[in-house]
Amino acid sequence: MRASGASPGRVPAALLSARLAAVFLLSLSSLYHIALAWEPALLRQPLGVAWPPFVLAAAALAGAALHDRLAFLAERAGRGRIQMAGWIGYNFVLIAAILGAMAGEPGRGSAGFGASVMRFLQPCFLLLAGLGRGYIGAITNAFALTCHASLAGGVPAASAAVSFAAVFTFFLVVDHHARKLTEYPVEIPPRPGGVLARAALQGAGMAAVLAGAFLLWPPQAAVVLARPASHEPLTRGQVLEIYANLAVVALVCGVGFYLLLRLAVGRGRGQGELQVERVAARRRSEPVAPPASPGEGGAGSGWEGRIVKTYVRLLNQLARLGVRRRLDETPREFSARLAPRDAAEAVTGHFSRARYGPGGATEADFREASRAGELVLGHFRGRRQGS
Amino acid sequence: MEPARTTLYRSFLLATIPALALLGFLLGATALLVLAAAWTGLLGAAWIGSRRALRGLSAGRRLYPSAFEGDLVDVEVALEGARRVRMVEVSDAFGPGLADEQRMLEPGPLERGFRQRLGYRGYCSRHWGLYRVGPLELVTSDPAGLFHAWRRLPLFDEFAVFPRVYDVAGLRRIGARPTLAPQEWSAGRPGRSLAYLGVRDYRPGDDLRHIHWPATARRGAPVVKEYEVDLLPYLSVFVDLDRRHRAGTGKKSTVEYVLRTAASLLWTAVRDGDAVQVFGEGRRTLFVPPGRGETHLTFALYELIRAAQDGTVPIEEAVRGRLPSVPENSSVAIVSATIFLDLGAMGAILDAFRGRGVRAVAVLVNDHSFPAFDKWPRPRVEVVERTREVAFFLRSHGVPSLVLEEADDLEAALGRADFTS
Repeated sequence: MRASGASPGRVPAALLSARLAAVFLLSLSSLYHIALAWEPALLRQPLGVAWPPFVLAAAALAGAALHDRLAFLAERAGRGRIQMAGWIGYNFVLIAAILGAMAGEPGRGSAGFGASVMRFLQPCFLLLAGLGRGYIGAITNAFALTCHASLAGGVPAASAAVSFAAVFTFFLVVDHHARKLTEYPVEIPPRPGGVLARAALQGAGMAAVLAGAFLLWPPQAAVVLARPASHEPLTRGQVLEIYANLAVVALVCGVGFYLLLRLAVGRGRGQGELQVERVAARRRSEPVAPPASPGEGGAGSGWEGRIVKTYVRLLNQLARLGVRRRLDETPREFSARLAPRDAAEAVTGHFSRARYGPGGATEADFREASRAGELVLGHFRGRRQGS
Repeated sequence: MEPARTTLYRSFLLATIPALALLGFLLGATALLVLAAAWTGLLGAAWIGSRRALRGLSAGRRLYPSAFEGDLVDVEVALEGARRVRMVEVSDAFGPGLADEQRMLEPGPLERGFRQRLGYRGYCSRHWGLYRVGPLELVTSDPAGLFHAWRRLPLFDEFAVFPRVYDVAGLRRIGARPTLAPQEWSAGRPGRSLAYLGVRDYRPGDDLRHIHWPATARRGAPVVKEYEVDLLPYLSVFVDLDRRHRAGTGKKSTVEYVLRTAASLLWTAVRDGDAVQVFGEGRRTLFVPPGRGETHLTFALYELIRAAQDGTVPIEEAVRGRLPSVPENSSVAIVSATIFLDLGAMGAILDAFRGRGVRAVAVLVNDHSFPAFDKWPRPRVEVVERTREVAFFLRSHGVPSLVLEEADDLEAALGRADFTS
């Protein structure tokens, strides 16, 4: 529950980017390790190494972009029902894979089918993260793939478990900070660099503990599951080469993905900067009074100046028609010489009030003065044409 | 994004540990067993870490203990830790507000030997009265947020929400008593104020500093200057707390109108520099001794919000019993919760006031305009007639009055009141 009146906090964009990068790395690690454990030859081909980062990065970016919309759709359609259906379907895949693995050689097809489906599902989980609870779907699937890879035993099993545990611990720390800072408005949020360093330290600690454990107890392959007969064991040099390649690719992709998020997606949303929400403005049009000119009707609403200008323009136009106001003549005396009488008195009255009165002229006064001036002007124009 | 205190990932780990252990055992996969052990270790370390962070953490609260309805109140919480701690959540229950809890986050690091102050602004959205602020709750977690540990600190503060007061524009200094202390207000009688009254012949004992030397020179006999008397505006407020006049509920009730009116009178008088005192006879006697200034007003309002309309003493009797406490030439405001006053007794009281130069005003809350819940309502005609009668009676005794009905907007009605006529 959010505290009353509190606005959501400003989360440093670096934390959100790092969080997504961690999920990306988890996914990448799981896909690489499932291949490394069961089909290492695939990773000797450039395409086998290249496609996972591109597909996963695209899915993660698209998922982040669509997150809010999908979450909205899920709310409308019933998030609980969608999640339930998703988990039931996913459990079938898991059960098929587990039973296949437990059945040994006869169930190899089932285990292989499960692994293939899980591999396919990993980008799907990233893409459809908005439908579920955060990235738990992608994490669970990555975890299942890691477990599957761990069944192969040996170095791939150890590296799969170590990398998953390390990245997952990193994710947990960063996610925890991001959640807290999202929920609470904080004046000075902690420096993202410090949080990331602590998260990396925790992840490294977890990796060290697991690596130590695997040194003491090397991972054994699942007793019931043997490698396929067609599987050609790789030499130690080839395995090292694959690991080196994968490490470089994972490092480059992880850093690249993070930088992409920070530089492209997270631009302008850094620490201490306001997140701007664009909202539809309510539109209503109303006439705006012109600004009052000094000496034109005083400090009124601005319509006074316009009335005075109208009157002065009327005097000029009347002068061109031969009706001139004498210098000793007051506006009221001059109006007595004009016709029609009512219109002349009206425009003169409006002028006097606007020029010498307390102000408060309105748009209606201006319109009335203009209309009266037109009538006076029309009268003299007609007379001139008639003559 | 998941909420700050989610258990999602902890549940995930807890669910996977037995699955990993079972699968690892059945399939003979050591990696899964090691992973299960690692998860167990991670959860254990997280559990210990969350509790360890809480150890040695202490907090205190500081706030001004009263405010008016609708005010924003600054509350400060000071956090102190015995060790370096991060991400400490602090929850405080601010009784006068509608929210159950006010939660804050101290991102840290909270260094040992340093005190960190967090502040929040509480909105007094509840009705006037006494409320409790507290307890404070501190919540810490491990770095991964898997476990949360909390401790509730029994830090409670009493907080008084005073009724929103309105300016009683008509309440001017309609009475005052002489004082030796210089005041802004004075009367045209000889006294010691700074306002010049005139000159008179010197009398033995007069202060030589007051000799008017030019006049003395002109007359050839000593003449002294005289000054006006200083006056201390002095208002006594009598509040009707007779339970027989209870009517209505909530914000539309006689007790609400009576106490809010009394609070407004006090506020207006104190703001003008008057000395005020308050009397009321409920089950618990309401008594505020005479005093001036903001502190005294706070005390008076505090006593007012603790009062209840549960007494058995009629207002006339309550006023009569306190007559000696009303100084001469001062002013009195009687806030009655009914229009059915005992006019005979009230007449005697008003005569006594007039005899001592006390100027009285009356604010009568028409209890029959509120929904009755413990008596039968009187016929409307009778109520109207009685309202006219009591208004005439008060006017005939020179007492300006104001009758408040349930439909009246208190702010507007008090603002319009004119007690000077």
